[in-house]
Amino acid sequence: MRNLQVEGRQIPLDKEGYLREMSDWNPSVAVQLAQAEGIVLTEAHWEVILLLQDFYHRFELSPAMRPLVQYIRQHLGTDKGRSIYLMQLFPPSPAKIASKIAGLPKPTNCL
Amino acid sequence: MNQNTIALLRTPPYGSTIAREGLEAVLASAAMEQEIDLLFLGDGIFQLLDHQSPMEIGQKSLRRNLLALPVFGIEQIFVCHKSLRDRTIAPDQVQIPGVEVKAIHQPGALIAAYQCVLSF
Repeated sequence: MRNLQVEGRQIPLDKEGYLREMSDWNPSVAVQLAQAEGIVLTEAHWEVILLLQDFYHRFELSPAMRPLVQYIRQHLGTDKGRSIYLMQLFPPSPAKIASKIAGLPKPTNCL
Repeated sequence: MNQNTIALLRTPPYGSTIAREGLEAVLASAAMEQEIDLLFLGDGIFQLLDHQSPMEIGQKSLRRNLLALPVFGIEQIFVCHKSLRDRTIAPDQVQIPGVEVKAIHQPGALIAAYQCVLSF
């Protein structure tokens, strides 16, 4: 098991780098998880992360790419609800990478 | 030719993992842009009911997952009218926002129209 060290705390990760415990998540944890993926979080990233968490709380599942795009489109409009936009923010696999940074489980039907 | 597929959801939401596996197959198909229709029948009707409390047995709510169907592009589902009636469940107890729920009287005729039938 790997750990992520955030503000003096050891946070356990699974072998793919997802949080073991969703309750360990906070914005500083997100910043570090993003760093491990080579991503510096901006306003645009946070907007997607928060929506993704909202999705998870409503439906109790992490979305694969297509439903993620659809959900972003419903809430942020067609400019942002496109795979290319999400691909630029969370390369190379937006559904997986964004779920990881948002502290959610890996998307179940992400093949 | 476009292969049309229907998933039959026949089992209650908990007690075995069949209902969840069915839902995952449906969501995976939808996420891969495969068109798939859903027919809830028999005890599968219970998956649609609100006020499930699966936290008590360490499970996630199947009903909550089903609320995501429109985001997966599934905007219409079928339910068996007789299965509802046999369980004294009213049609308004099996609604999903953003999804048209069609109660059908002849499930056999519906199923016969599909080339591929997945049964859970």
